[in-house]
Amino acid sequence: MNSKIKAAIIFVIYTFLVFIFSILWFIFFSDASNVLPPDQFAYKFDNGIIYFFMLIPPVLMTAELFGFSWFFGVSSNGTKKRFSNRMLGHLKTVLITCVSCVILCFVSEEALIPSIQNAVSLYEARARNYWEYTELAEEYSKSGSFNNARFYAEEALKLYPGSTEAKSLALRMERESLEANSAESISSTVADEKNDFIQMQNEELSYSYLTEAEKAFAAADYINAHYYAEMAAKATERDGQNLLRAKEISSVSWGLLNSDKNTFNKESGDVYKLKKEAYNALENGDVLKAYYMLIKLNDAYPTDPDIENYFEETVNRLENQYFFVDETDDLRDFETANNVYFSVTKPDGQVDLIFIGGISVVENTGQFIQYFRNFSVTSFSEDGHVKQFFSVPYAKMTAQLVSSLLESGLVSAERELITSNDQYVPYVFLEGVDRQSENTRNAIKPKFKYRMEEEAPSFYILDIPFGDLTLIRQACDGADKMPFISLMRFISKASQYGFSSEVYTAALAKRACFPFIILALMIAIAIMSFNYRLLSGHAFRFHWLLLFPIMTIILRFFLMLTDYAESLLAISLYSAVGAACPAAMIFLSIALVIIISFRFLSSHSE
Amino acid sequence: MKKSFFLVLVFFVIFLVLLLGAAFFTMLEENCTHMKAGINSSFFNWTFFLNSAVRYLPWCAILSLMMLILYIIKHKFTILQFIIPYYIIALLLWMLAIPGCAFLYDNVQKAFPISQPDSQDFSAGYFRKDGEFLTFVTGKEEDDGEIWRRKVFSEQTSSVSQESDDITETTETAENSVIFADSLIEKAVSIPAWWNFAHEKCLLLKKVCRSALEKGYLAYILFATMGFALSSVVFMCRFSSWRLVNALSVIILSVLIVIANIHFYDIPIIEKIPILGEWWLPLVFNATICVLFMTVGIINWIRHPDRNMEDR
Repeated sequence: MNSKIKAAIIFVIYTFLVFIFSILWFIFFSDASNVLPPDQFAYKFDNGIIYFFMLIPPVLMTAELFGFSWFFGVSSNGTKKRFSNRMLGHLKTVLITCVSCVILCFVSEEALIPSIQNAVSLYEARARNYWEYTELAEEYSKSGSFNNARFYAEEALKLYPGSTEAKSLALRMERESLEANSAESISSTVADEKNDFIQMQNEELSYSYLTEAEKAFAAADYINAHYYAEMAAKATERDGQNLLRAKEISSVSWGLLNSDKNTFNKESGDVYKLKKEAYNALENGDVLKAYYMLIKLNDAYPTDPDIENYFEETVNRLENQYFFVDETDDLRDFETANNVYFSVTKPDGQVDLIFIGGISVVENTGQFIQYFRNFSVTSFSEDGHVKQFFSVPYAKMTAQLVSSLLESGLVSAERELITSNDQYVPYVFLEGVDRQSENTRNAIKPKFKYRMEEEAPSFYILDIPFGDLTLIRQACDGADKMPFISLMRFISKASQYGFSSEVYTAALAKRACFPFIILALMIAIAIMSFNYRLLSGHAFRFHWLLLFPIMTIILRFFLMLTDYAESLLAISLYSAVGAACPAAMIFLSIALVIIISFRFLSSHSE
Repeated sequence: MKKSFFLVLVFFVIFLVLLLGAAFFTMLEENCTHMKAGINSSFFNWTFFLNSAVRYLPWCAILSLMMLILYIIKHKFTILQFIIPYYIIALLLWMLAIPGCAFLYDNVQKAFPISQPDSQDFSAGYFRKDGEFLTFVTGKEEDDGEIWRRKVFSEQTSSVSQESDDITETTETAENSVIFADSLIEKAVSIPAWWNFAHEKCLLLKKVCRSALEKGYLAYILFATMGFALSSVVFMCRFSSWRLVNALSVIILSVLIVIANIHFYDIPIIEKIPILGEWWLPLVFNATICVLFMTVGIINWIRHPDRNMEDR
């Protein structure tokens, strides 16, 4: 008993030393130039832990080899014949030990390593975003759109507050954008169509509101004057001339509106006209125009039931066609996936290739609302010619029931769909509009290239079951990182989305048989330790411990080779038995475990 | 005497198992290198199997010799019972079998040639990563069969640079998929880096062996001194009182001898340390190893003639 405890202590110390070694190795010798300096230590540390978890199988096997070799040496009387009772007892011990080791390996492989890898990829994503923001800031400043440049410089600074580079960049951009703004106010606004999707900066917005307010005030349109002045006051962040002027216009026009009931009544004729115009616009399908008219009217006459009803109706319809640009603010830092791509083959043979630069999932909606950054779709005809391409900087996706899409007429009934009526499909809004005013600079619109068939649509319907989108998102990270359950659901669909079913099925097969393979190897190692056991009567020499690390390295190399052999077998098996490959691999590995167990039982001493 | 004959039998059993295993897995490897996503290929391919069996024949024989030492460590053999058959096998192997394998290999290569994987022809309907681009094969030109392989999306997500080249056709192929016909399959089979390295070094040894054979038998014997050094490891099989330590030492020593011998022929290393390239160095090194291990083994045998024997 005493020596058992001693052995256990030796292995615990050994494991601990391996842990320390892998962490120190990564801290001192690994390259972390692909993450930001403040994250570097944590990045190296996490990588060290991942490496340690990867070393767990060979470390456990080393412990097993030496431990059993000693254990069998002191307790192997009565093993002269093959299949002796003594060996059956040994097999029990071996199986209990090995199965618990295998569980440990499986947990570290399927749960611990992925969770740390998530943290590691977060550091990498942060650095990527930071470099891209600084690059974008430089590019925008070169092309003269300083507001965008400043926005990105500030975003970069948010990601890495200690960076002197980002600080100086942000300062420079602020200075340049201020200079540019003052220049702009003299020579009126220069439309910058190229970057119209970027949120216009508040000060600039405020200034344009104020101009509108001045205009309206001069035309004695006090409703609009008050409205725009209020907007201008809301938008500005600094106390200054603009704010004072905005407040002035606001209070004067409000006073005029309220004090003189007659003006109000006089104008109700105008209001009626406006209402009618908005209503007509709504009826004619120009939802945007109706929306912007009604939002003003609603602000001015919040109690008018007509306006309220129209407004509600308009917002409902608007939300079926557009999304609001301000919803996409700051989504970048909350992206759950990057570089997602897949293909969809339509019933008429057309192939759509879809690329999404980043996906942000809105919390608490059950993933039913997602935003796609850099959403682009390339369509090819059946014979391989490019039919159409479009890309949009941001798109909003909502999950919709196919039958409800058909009912509401959003999708024409003639259109062939692969998905059935009771399925949810991702419905993508391609156009974004400003929430408050008809600001075309702010709006998001898809850009089309190549031959266009009809009028550019404002939506894109992804003809795939909604659940598959999550699977595809995970599949793009690679078959090895995909959660096990998702991988199982994905393999039958892989090739229809442009992924190789060979690769994903083989990955599933490999991961499914991993515990059995490790178990088989561990029993094989138990056979080795029986064959080369320390014969009774010999004392354990301390310097033998030096062989531990060498054994771990040999076993690690051997496990890597086993992994390679497994991949080869799994992929080749796929071509022989197809989708039954995982089952076949599990069957083979269980057979291997049984054969090796019998081999263990048949071991005997001479 | 009976036991010595039995040892020869064991050698052939180990050799056969190793050879079949190596040929089987190399066949799978060849399968995978020729495979393309979405195109079915056969599981058993006799050309690949036979070709790999012949290719790995000498390697498996050398490895079996090493495994034979592990067998000797486990079982009761007196030193004379195992030394004589072991050295007969080793001599036959290094002096006759390996040169013979070279000629066998040439003939089998002619009879069952393996085509190189075609990395120009891509199967349609799959995304493949090509540098920072994703490519997608959309179809084939009907006249000349040229494949339309398009760079569809840039991996760089920068919204500014993405506008320039969204859909460009590409004909050049990625450089890394030289061995594999399909980069998708290549990425899925995780070849360990050390395996590639070891493979490369083994090819180097093979090349040296072939060129030595061409130069004449004497030049070959100079190369084959590595075999004598490797065989002398058998003397170390009763080195420690723990058989596990013996088994590990035998493995480690054999690997070290091979690594040391590779250094005598590896041109980049020779350029750094010129003395390694001298023709006599392998002879001196391997002879020293031989003598050293033999001395240690014989002294060990005199001091503990019954070491590692169970129940004595």
